[in-house]
Amino acid sequence: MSGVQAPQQERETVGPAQPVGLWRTVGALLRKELLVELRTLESVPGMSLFALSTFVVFHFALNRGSVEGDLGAGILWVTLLFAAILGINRLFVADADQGGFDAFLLAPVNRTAMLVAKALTLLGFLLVLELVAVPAFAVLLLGPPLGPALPGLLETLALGDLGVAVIGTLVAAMAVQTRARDLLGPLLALPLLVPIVIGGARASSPLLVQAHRAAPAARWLLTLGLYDLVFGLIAYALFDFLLED
Amino acid sequence: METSSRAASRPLRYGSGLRTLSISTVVAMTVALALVFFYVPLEAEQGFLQKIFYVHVPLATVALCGFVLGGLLAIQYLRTRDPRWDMRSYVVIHMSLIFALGTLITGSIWAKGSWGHWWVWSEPTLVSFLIIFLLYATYQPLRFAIEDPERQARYASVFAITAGAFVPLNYVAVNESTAYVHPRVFSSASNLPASMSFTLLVSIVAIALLFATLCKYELTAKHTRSQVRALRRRLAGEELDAPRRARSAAPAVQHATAVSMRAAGRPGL
Amino acid sequence: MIATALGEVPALPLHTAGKYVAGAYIVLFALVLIYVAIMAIRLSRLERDLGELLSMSASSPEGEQAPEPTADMAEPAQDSHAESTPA
Repeated sequence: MSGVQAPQQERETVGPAQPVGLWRTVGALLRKELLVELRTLESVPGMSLFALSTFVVFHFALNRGSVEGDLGAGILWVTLLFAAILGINRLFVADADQGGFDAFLLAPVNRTAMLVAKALTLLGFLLVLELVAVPAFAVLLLGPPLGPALPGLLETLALGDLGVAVIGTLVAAMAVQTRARDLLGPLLALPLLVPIVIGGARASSPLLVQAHRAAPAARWLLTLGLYDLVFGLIAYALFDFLLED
Repeated sequence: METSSRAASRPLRYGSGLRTLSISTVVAMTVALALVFFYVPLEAEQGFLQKIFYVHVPLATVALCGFVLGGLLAIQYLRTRDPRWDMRSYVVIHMSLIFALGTLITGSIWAKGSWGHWWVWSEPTLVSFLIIFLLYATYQPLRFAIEDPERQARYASVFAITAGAFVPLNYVAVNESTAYVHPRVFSSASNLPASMSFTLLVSIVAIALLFATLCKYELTAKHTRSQVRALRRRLAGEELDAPRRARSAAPAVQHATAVSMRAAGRPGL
Repeated sequence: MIATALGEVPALPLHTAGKYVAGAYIVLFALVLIYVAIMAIRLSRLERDLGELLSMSASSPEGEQAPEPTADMAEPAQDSHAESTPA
């Protein structure tokens, strides 16, 4: 991290050096994550390909050419969920294996920055994933036209992605330092993500129908939003404890 | 030094109070069972089958409270870093998992008797317990996968707090999602006649006392075993607190002997 | 069948309902008894360990050779009795 020019607001002071502000740290970390992903391309292409393959598998497993309503919403959300799990598994692996954690802990920065940066990274991955997966879903499997459903669907996906990003980051940080990280990550994440699937699927299923309703029901959006908020707060409170060493 | 000498003069005993607790449990459980089978009237709709209600709902209630309590104890650990809080959190979560299993089994039996299926998705308590069970079943593997005891305790505490917060949220979410299905009131405790709610209350108290007794029993047993190990190490002339245990999911137990020996300044024992 | 779907099931006759209720309470009983069994096993192991420790402490102050570690002792006693600090 380059030398600090002007001291900014921070929550904690560490050592003689001026602590770097939160958003500045987040910015630096995000740049790093973006660079790593662009160079190695290890998360997003894999997640997108996985989603596409899963749609094909669903076609054969369910023996259907087109789906709609509950079934359509379910397939979409399950696929996105499992692709997200792939991303969650990879999220901290590079940091854990190559000493990134130690470097971060030594720097005089607000440790919450790692939570924010990693969650934003995962959110970014999910958004790119959906750019690929949702049109693919519309082409491959969805019966009714996607166009009219799109605004409502995007709202729902945005709220769902936020929750997946926060919970995914927390779970990834827990699992990466253990011996069975690839196994424990999904096992921890899936039950915690069930309410998001509930909210997301219930909200989007009436949209994916021929005679669709214009917007997702407010109660599901509210459920999703509330869940995101609570877990955001929990992650914020607890993340630092995972980084100590 | 003062705290250590205080610990030496008042040795740590998990077992004190265990006798009173277990006797109260026996009394409460007997009274509860008597009420269930001799006092409370048959329910109009489900008849005799409804009596499962008085074992299923208390198990569910106590398990849910246990999981939340595990989270609270974990908060105490993170605040004080005293391993005893982590030990308590571990035991409470373990016990709640067993009670959750009991909830699932009794709920399944009730479903079979009521609907003819061993599982029904329309029952929110049953469904949310399945999800919670799946979540907490990862608690032990998570602990076991971390070797360093301090990190194990810390990560387990973060998990316990997250999962403890998840429990009520999950219940609400599942409730919302099953609202559209035929709202057969399985385990509702609302608008019950007085005799039934009284019996239910007594049953909940009995199961809660059982939970507390078993937890205290477990803590006492763990502590005793660790004291025996410490004694063995002392007799073999080794360092009292040397980390000799194999990798394990259970948290390390502190014992008063180690604390007091160090306080007394004896070298190497 | 339709009555079942509508939730207006007539109460199960006592002999069938009784089995389910009994099953549910037996589950509770079994869980507690399994726990008692686990604790009993632990207690017997504890008794055995304490017995060994008693014999260890009996022999060591007299400066005799330590008894050979038995196969199931968790931590074999080294020949440290010659240099063990007096208790």
